[in-house]
Amino acid sequence: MQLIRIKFAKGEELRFLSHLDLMRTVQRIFRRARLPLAYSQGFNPHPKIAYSPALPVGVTSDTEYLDVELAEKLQLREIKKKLVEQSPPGLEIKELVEIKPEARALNVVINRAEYEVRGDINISRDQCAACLEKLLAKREILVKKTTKKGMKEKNIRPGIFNLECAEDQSGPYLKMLVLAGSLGNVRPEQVLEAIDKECALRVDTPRIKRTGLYIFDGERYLSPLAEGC
Amino acid sequence: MQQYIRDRILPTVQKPARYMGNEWNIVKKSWEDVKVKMAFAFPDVYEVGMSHLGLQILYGLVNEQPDFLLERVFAPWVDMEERLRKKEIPLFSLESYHPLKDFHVIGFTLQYEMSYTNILNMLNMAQLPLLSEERPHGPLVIGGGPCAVNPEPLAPFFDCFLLGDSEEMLLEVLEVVGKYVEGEGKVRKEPLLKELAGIQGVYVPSFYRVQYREDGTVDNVTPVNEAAPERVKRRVLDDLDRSYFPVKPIVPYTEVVHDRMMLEVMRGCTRGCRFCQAGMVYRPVRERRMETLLKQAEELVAHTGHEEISLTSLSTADYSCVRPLISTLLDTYQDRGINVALPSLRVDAFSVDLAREVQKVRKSGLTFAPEAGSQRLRDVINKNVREEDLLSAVTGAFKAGWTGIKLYFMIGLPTETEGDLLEIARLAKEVLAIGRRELKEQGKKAKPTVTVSVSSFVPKAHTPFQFEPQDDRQVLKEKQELLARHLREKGLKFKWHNREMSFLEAVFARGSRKLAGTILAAWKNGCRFDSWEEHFNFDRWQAAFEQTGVNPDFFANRRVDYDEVLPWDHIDVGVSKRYLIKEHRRAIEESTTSDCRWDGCTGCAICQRFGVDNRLWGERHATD
Repeated sequence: MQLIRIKFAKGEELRFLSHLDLMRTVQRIFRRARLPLAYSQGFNPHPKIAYSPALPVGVTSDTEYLDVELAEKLQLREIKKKLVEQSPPGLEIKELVEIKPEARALNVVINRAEYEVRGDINISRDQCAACLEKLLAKREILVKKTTKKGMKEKNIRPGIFNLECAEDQSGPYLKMLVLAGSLGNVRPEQVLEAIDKECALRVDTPRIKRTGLYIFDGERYLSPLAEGC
Repeated sequence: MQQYIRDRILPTVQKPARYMGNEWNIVKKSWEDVKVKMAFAFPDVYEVGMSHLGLQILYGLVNEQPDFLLERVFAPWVDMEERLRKKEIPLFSLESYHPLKDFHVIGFTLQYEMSYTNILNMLNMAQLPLLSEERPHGPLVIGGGPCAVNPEPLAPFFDCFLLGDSEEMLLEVLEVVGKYVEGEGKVRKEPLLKELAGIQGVYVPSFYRVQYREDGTVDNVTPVNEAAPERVKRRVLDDLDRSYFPVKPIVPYTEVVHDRMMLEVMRGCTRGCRFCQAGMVYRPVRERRMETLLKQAEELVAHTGHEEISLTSLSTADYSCVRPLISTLLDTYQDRGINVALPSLRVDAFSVDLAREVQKVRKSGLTFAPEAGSQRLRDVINKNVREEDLLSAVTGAFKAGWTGIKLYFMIGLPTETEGDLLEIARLAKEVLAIGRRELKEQGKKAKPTVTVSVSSFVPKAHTPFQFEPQDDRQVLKEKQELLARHLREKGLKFKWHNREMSFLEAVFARGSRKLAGTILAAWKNGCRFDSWEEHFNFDRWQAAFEQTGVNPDFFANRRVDYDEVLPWDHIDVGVSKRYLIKEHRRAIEESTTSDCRWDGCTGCAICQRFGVDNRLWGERHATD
């Protein structure tokens, strides 16, 4: 038996896959690679694979994680090689580490997500900074949320930890650090909606990418690869 | 364009993964280096089309050839259609995002009549004229699949139809197309069609003139081009075992209707159910050897990573090596987390036994299709199932742990009486009673459920019942209501098929070229996705019949004489009309006909006329 944590990227080619689609895809990669998945007990055995907080449809990511249990112990290098061979374009296997059985689930320990939003921004960088400052000064930022029972309003302000206008060689972009995981999720589209409402800042055809998932312990931001080892 | 679609359009539609491409095992060929480009067009959504084995067979077969390529296109869902039309983006293929009009050949698969308006819609979205004569330079629009055995209602829209097993003839067709290719999306169509008409299985509708009598029936269908044969013979793949099979099928990302590996164990069925078109037009029975299937399974598993192997055919329990095949597959793959699935069960204990072996979790119910409630009517339709077969099958199912049974019946069958209908209700209640008794004996708390699912008989071309009328819609309504009244009991569920859809199916299944205008009118009235309840709109269809002066009852509800010239008589699927008449007479006499794969020739004539034979590899099952 062996527990492995895998860091992978979900690129442009697969950005419209839902979380369920991704789960199916990963299982099939493991089967094609003939890696000995461990199965749950019971009438309807399913492979023991657990994921980091679900990525919204349409969003790409540099940093997704999954934990998988294999029935046999194999060399990490060998596992990586086989996975890479069987992965479709857009799914990049980045790093593998072995984790201890007592490691807590990804969805439980991960509590922060970082996103970048690129696209044409309709106001200048100074105006952008002023807008975000104004927004963050609020105690309450209400966004509409569709639930099974209908529309509900949700305050996302407590889940926004950083929001800034940034710029690099490919141009200006928005950067945000928000709540993620089992305690709640703030979706980047919700933040964009709030910004638009606050000061009509719009990103035309936004391309959203998750650039980080972290474990924040109150002081430090830890990588999920470092935890659980 | 691809980038534009991905950035601007896909984020705004439902299920964008339908239009994404990039699946595992997709074949992307260099556009410039390939001589003949063909698009395989499935006139329904991605999830339906990707569940179709024929697509995967032809996709693999054509793409293995260096000079040809085959790319896919499906009917865009209504939201996607709206976006594409608004931006004037022509319909494109999933592999290269090339507009459909740049291909030399566009091949539609004709799986069901209710997809016809989608074909017109797709051609229109491709910015192509709908009528064959308005496309003198191509692309060549071709059709194949089950509805091609009577393609007459679609005749003016298509350049040609391929009749029969396409993997046997498509490469030959593309080879000929290659001689007449002229740049992007262009072919020299006139000489091309002439040469194609000489290939067995190719039907060029414009080479035939249809003359009608005053009463609307066909007087004659006459070839008007010297290249066209008197009757077009279906192409029959003789040896399925040695035929091409795609072991690297495309693996969809998004969930499709049949999300599994498909192992085709055989093709054709000779049970001879008299309403069944597939059982007539896919003869003879051609099995694959077990060793071949096991090799194909190994490759499928390695190349797809799927979690289930489905054994497909018209009636898999009839495959002569079914038992050893299933146990070998289970022994080999169970530990690797791969299940085996049987898509169709015969009504007998043997089938339940097989189901018990493959389905470790009794999650879904078991489905059986006795088709008719009384023995008399089952004899009429030649569904050789006895009541004790059904009762022992369901007893076995309840004993094995299933709690839900689904029963399929047809109403409106020839000679049906009220008594036959009441037998459906009686049978359902009997099954439910067995369930109660069996579950009680096992000390289970669960209550059994019996779902009775009823469709309406549709007379189909090339079947013994092609001469029979469909019941009037009002009569069908009364029959459905009668059943509903008699199926009110705790544990019984009653479902019925939309009768207006069944009516349209009957109209087109036995339709002539006179209906082409109606399809066009219906499409103009806004009809599309007619097989989807949420889009089906019968009023628009009725308006279309009125606008075109066509009386649909003439096609659906009329009894046809044996000596009448039928719109599809010039299409020769192998089974002779004499046999169909003989079988129809036997039906009225309530006599059954045996299965020729086990009991000797019944005279359908295909083997003698086409030089083929039933090909079985194993012994007949002991339980038969």
